[in-house]
Amino acid sequence: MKKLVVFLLSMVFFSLALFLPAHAADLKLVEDNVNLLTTQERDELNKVAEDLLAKYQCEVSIIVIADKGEKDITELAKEFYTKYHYGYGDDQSGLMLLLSMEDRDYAVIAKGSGNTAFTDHGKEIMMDRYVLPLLGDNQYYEGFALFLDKADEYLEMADKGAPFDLDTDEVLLKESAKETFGIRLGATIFVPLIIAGIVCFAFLSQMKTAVAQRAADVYIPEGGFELTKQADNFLYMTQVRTKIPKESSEGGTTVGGDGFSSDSGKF
Amino acid sequence: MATNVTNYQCPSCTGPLHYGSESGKLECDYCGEKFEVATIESIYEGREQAAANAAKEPNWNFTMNEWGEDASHIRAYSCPSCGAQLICDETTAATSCPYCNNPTVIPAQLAGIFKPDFVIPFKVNKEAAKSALKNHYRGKKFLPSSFLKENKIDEIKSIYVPFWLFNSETDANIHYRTTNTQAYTDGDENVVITQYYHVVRQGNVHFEKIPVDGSTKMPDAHMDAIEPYDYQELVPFSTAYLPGYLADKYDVEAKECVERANERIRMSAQDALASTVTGYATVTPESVAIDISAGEVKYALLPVWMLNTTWKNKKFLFAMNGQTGKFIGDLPVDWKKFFLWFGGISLPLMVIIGLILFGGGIG
Repeated sequence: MKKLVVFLLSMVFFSLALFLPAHAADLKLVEDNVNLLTTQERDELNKVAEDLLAKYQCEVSIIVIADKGEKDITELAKEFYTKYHYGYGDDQSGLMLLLSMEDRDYAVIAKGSGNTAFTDHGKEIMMDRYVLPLLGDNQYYEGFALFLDKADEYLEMADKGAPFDLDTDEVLLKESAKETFGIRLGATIFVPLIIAGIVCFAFLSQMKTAVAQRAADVYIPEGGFELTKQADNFLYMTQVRTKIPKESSEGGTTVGGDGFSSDSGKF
Repeated sequence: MATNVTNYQCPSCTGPLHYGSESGKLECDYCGEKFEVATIESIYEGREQAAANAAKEPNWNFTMNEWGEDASHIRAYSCPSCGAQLICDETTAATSCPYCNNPTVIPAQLAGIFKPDFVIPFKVNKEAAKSALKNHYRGKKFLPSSFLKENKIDEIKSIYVPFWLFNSETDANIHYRTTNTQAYTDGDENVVITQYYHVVRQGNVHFEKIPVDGSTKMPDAHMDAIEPYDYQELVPFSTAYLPGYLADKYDVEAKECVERANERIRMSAQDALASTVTGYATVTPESVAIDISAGEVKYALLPVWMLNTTWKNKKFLFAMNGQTGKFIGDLPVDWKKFFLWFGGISLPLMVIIGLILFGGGIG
């Protein structure tokens, strides 16, 4: 019953939205259809998003719906973005976060100059490292505020010609440097110890020469071994398939034929 | 008529197998694998033979010779200190025990001692033994410096050591489980295919004169380590080879030495068959059946130089093959030298590798 009510409410929201010619008229940059935010919180967030638009000419929007139904969250976000004319300018530059509360799915999509500022790595880190932990704890206002804050940071970096990516992610670079340092330190300490161990134990083995024999190979005369039966029978076969873990790419943004780049998952 | 019923298990998952009338194969109720009847029979045949052989004792032939007329030319002695029993020809006098250096050895009865079948005469002399000891010290990095100066030779003795020589025909039947692995990439997946095989190897291994020393006074490890002797110079025993040398009387019966010979035979038979199982990534023996048969045992005296040294009140025993000159013996270890070497190698290497990896600046 509860599901049905939520679904009907979502449909009402969609139906109303369908008749709107442009979002600018009625839909805000931050749309909360399920009242996760207070009016004041929503207004504050809208103000921040509008400031970002003015500063960078890139629309950063947050849309919350009750239930996406059977639709794919990313496809729904793209549909919404296109149908309600989100994005700034001819290339519809922008970034949109869409949340579906019923199944706790999210999608982040970018278009136009948003694809430059919000790289694949940037979108992933923005959500995984910062926003998702807050959304997972139902701290929606804090999560959305941080989303806008990070969007500001990434847009500024892109403005300066160095978008947030693998080569500019300082946390990643620090972790990588730490890992590299650990490997080098380990090699510096353990490789010499292993080499010294091999050499010293080889010398040590020379000190003990009274060793019992375990076999009698030298007492098998020439032709003393005859193989009388030899059989190699195939029994069965096993096959193990494992997904190849995604290697860290060379950075950048993967843009589809529809001009969008995206990231999605659960919160 | 069948006397027992075997419940065959699947080699893949150990589930019960049943005969599939349509496939004509043995099928697993659980994993669905199908196997040829002959393959499963072969696996079980190996296990049954291994079980049967485990309970089977090799039948060695221990026929020995009496001294006969030679007895009048042989003298026997025993050491009241360590219990060693020695024989020598009538012209050689045993003045001290070669094992414990006790200066008093007393005459004993020759009775109860079999006449050796073979002997290998001494080929290397006392000077060669002394020189071999010095060579033995060379190149030993961890030998204490004081050992070279203070270690003194207490005694060098040439002894004919009693050995039992075991001849054997051995049948081995070993079943292995082997695997081959193939790995490749298919799209975004890594694929590992493992193929399992049942491999059978049967063979016959002939062993000639595996020596096992018959003296408790001789450490087994020392006697094993000076092997092998060149049996081309093995000659029928004659008292003519004894003058000037002592011969130890065996105090371990051939029957008591059988297990050591069997162990070595089993190991070599397994090694010989395993060497023919090639082309696989892993090879695991599943059942091992070794049948040691037609064993003939001979008694031989083999020449050994024994060198006793003392350093810091500790005795060191060295042995040299009296025919080939092969020299062995454990040496003391100077652990200070060991750690100096260890540090001397590892620390400079750490500096060099550190400089290479960190390029002169950490971080």
